[in-house]
Amino acid sequence: MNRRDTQKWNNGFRKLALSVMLRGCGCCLVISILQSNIIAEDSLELLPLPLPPESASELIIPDEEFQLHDFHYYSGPGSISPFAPPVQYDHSVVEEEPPLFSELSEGFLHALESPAEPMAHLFEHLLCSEHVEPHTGLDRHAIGIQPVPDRPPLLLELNEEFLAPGFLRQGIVTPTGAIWRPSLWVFGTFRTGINHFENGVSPDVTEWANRLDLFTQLNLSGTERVLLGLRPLDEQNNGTRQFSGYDFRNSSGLDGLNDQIQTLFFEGDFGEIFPYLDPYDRRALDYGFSVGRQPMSFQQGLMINEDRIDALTITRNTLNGNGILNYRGTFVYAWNDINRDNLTGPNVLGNDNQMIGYFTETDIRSSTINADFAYVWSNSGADDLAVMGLSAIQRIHGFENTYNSSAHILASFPTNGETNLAGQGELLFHQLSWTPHHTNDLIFLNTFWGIDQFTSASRGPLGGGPLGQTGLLFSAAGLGNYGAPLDNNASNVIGGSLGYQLFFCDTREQIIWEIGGRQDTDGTNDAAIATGIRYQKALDQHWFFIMDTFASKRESSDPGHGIRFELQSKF
Amino acid sequence: MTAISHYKTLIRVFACWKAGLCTFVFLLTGSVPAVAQPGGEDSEGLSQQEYSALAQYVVSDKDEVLKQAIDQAHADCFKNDCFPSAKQCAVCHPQHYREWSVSPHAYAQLSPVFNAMSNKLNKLNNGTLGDFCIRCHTPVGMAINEPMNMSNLHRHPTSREGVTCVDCHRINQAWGKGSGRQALVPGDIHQAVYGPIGSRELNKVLSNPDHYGVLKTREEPDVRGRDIHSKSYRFFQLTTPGFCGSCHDVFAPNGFRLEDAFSEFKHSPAALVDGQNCQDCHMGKVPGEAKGYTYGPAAIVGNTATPPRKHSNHMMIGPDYSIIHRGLFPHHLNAIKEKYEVDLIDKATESVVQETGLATMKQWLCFDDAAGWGKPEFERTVSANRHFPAPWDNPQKRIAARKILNDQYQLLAEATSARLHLLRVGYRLGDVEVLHCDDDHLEFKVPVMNGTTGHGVPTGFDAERLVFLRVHVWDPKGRLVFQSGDLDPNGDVRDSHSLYVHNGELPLDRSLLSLQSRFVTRNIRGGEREQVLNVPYSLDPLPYTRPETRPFTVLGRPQGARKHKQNIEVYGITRGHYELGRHQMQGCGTYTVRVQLIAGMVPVNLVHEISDVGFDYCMSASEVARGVVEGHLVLHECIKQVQVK
Repeated sequence: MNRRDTQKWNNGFRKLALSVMLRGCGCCLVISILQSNIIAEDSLELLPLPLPPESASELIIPDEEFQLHDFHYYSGPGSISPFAPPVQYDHSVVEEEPPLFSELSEGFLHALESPAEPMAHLFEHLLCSEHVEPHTGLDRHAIGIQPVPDRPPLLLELNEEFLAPGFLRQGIVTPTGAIWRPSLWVFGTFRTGINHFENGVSPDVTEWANRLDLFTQLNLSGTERVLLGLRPLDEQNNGTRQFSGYDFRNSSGLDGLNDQIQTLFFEGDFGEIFPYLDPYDRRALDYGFSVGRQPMSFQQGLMINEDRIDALTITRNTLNGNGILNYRGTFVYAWNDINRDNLTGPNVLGNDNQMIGYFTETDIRSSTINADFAYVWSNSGADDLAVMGLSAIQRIHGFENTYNSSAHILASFPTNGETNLAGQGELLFHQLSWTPHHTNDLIFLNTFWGIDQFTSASRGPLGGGPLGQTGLLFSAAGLGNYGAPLDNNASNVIGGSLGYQLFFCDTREQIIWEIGGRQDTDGTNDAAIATGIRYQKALDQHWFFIMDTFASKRESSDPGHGIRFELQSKF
Repeated sequence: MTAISHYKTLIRVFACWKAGLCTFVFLLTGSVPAVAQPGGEDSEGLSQQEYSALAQYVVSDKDEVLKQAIDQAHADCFKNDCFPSAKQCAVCHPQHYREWSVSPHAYAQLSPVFNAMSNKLNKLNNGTLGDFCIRCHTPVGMAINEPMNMSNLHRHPTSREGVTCVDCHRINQAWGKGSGRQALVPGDIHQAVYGPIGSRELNKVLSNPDHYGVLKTREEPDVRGRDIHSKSYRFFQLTTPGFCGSCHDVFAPNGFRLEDAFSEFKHSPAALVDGQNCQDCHMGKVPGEAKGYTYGPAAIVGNTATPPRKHSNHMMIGPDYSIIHRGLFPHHLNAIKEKYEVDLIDKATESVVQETGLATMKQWLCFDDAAGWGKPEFERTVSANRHFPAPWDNPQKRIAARKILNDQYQLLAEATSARLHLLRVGYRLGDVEVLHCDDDHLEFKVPVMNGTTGHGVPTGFDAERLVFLRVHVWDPKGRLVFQSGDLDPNGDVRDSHSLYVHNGELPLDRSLLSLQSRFVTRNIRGGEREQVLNVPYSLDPLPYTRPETRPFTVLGRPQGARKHKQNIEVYGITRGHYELGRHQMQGCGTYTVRVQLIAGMVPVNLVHEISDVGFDYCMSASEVARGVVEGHLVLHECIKQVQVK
């Protein structure tokens, strides 16, 4: 369709309609027709189409030739174009004025933005790398198809290669009727780094640490698989992990070699495994499930953050109705390897603990709501704990910008009295972030308020406390003993962090600068503040480099500092 | 190495030997073969004399001989491939071919937006996304191991056809939800096919040569007759929603649920209560409505039609539309000349005995459709010294091209009409509901309803489907006082993804009702943010797609990215909410409110986001965007007069 002629059709008709309407008075009949919908639901069941202008004189085809299969296709001059004219923004229209509250709050956030631009310019010079700044207009010049990276193969690919072009073999038919094409894939990540960490509280660390996350997947179909995961270079002991490497302070090697099974689960879709039960797809048997040792995380790690847990999960997804656009509900029963959030020290393995929970995620138009419940108990009944979490994640459209908001309320209730592993308390946690104009950068402002002694249902040895999501300063590196510069325990505390993530070199080079602090609310006056910076850069298709450094001060201890260099490889 | 690779290697070896032999003969005789040379990329539009000159040069250079041999190998490979083109099927199934030729399935691989998006996602994922996207869009291309990032101009013809005949009718196993990774049954046109009914009619055709003519089958390969498959097996799953779901429930190995049309359907009243299936609405006689099927012959063999039976409409229309040159899409039997195809020429008269396609794709891209080439009024004004690129320097070719384009426009008009009907059925627009009305405040709502019972609207690729309300209000003096759903200069609605809004050059359209779902990615800290593409590069500078290391069923998504649905669920209703304050109200009188529900293929911000990897057919980002915006359809429109006292 020629653009000019399309517009001509549209404009002609619409000008006529509007002039009739706006002149108003004596044309009630026409107006009433227009009021009842120009393209009414029933009056014009099928819209006529204009002929392409290039062929208008040659394609006057009788209607009957368009009657294909009883469905009438219309085409002919004089018809209304269904194409929408590209109506552009009219600058003369008076825009809504922001209320005072919006002006003040957005003004405050805008003020927080101010360091981002000079930082971008500074690092652009220091890194000799271009800051990512999207242009407003579209490119008018064709550049042709540009090269993209080739697919990096996995470490091992047997039978079907992972997401690779090529002929796909026939599958095998299982006794249940499912079609499986078993393939074996080996992949993972390797991390190696040198850490120096002194925060004035925990023991000083200077070490070389290594971590290998090695996975073998027996892929059966699009929905069924068995995943085996090992971490042969770091060993899980009660509440801690020992990483292989070298301790420079004690001049001794660190041995974390092990053959522990970190992950081993089967997951699938009930309806896909038993297709004969619903050959016409009319029974909605698509129950997802997993069983075995698996990582688990809910409420963005605030409520549960486990490296490995032995569990059975059953999930129902893609449910909707009554304003709910998508609903996912997951039932979890865990019977082994449940590590507990410890209020007084590192997380510890729960003794004969079991857990049951129901976790939901609901999309409504304005937000995504997570409502979760978990109950952990043991045979002794000593540390039984019920934990609830509710969160709303949304984008708030201001007058100046759009702001990402993620609000969480969590509460823990010990059912047999409070212990170190089962505290009573609440955690209010909010994450706010936005992207300044002309950039892809991210500014985040995260705040929390821990009331009494909130305790997560389950946290792995590397999970630390619940506040790790507050900022890089509140989380450990996950490699060696480089801990969190600021304590991430959520007992009687208030605090937050402000960070700037700047992107360079097509997002392959990044700087994150952050300041954060926490203040106890139980009168111990043990506040802490820290600042840190992370530099990370992709080196090639497999490797990237990370450098972290921080400086901190806690009221009750000496100033702390730390630096680490890490190389990470994905394969 | 697969059987296909062996096969191709053999073909190449044979072709090299054949080309070498030709060269040897040429050296002995000093003459070129009688048939015209392949119309390769570098030799398009050359005359016989030019070919001769070129051939003399070619054989004097070993590299060029090798190049010629490789070209010949390609030609042979293309001719004898194991996945026949839809054009071959069209011989006996013209109606099916015609419907399919303008379908979204036929456009799937040709789409420059798709190809750029796939490439961009691969770039952001450092190549690890592999063939995840393109496997569905060209199953044949992937089966024959074509590179993922290549121009359609150089692809195998069947690969270019996207989701072509063999992609459904050469599948013999019920793969389930596999994101398009089904195994195709290889074989030439004589290979058995898989259909909804079986071979009853086919057997009648084969057993009745007097009626249907002589047919060449696998069992009788030496007879001179029409090529046909001798077997047609009933494949039950082809008639079930699950077959559609094998491509239309798209989740990545990392657990990201890109599309869940089939899952939505499984929980819908259409499936659970009405017992309908996808085909009832999308292959029936009325697009989008389960109003039964038409009847017609399954095939026309020779000039004889088989007895009428239920006919499934293979147009399977959807919200996508073509933005590429009309010579390339819809697929046309006589439009495209493959590089290896040669016209048979009578040497005595130098006339074309048997013509192949009119022009190569590259040549079609040079055909100036908008200037009116081939139209009588244009041709009458062409001066003798006007330059046209080959082969359009021949006026007969231009006129022939125009005839083809007339067919193309006609078919596109039919498809647009069907698309409009489908979308109008899918969405309903209610009346404007005035909530408050006085001289300094006008507030109203506009309801939009889901018109289907089979899935949400939009569905499928709903994170890039643009469906929105455009609302304008004029005051009693005819001045525009309110706007929502208007476009920025790029053609985007003014949502947070609009580059003009993002860069603070236009205000955000705070009243906009858009049904486009959103990709939401996890930030390194600070929760989640919307992104045009679902790659969480904030988490680390080297995003990778690998199998999820935790059960993806538990969260229904990976940790790093998800989709926030914004569509309308079955039986659902959503309302646009609009308010005019005292600055916008201009006193008492009659205010006019116009509401349009508009559907587009993709938002322009996606075009911008993927533009750095380049678009096929030498299209620029602005050209692509213009095509996208020009295809916006007004599904429903409503005008209301509001009396303000």
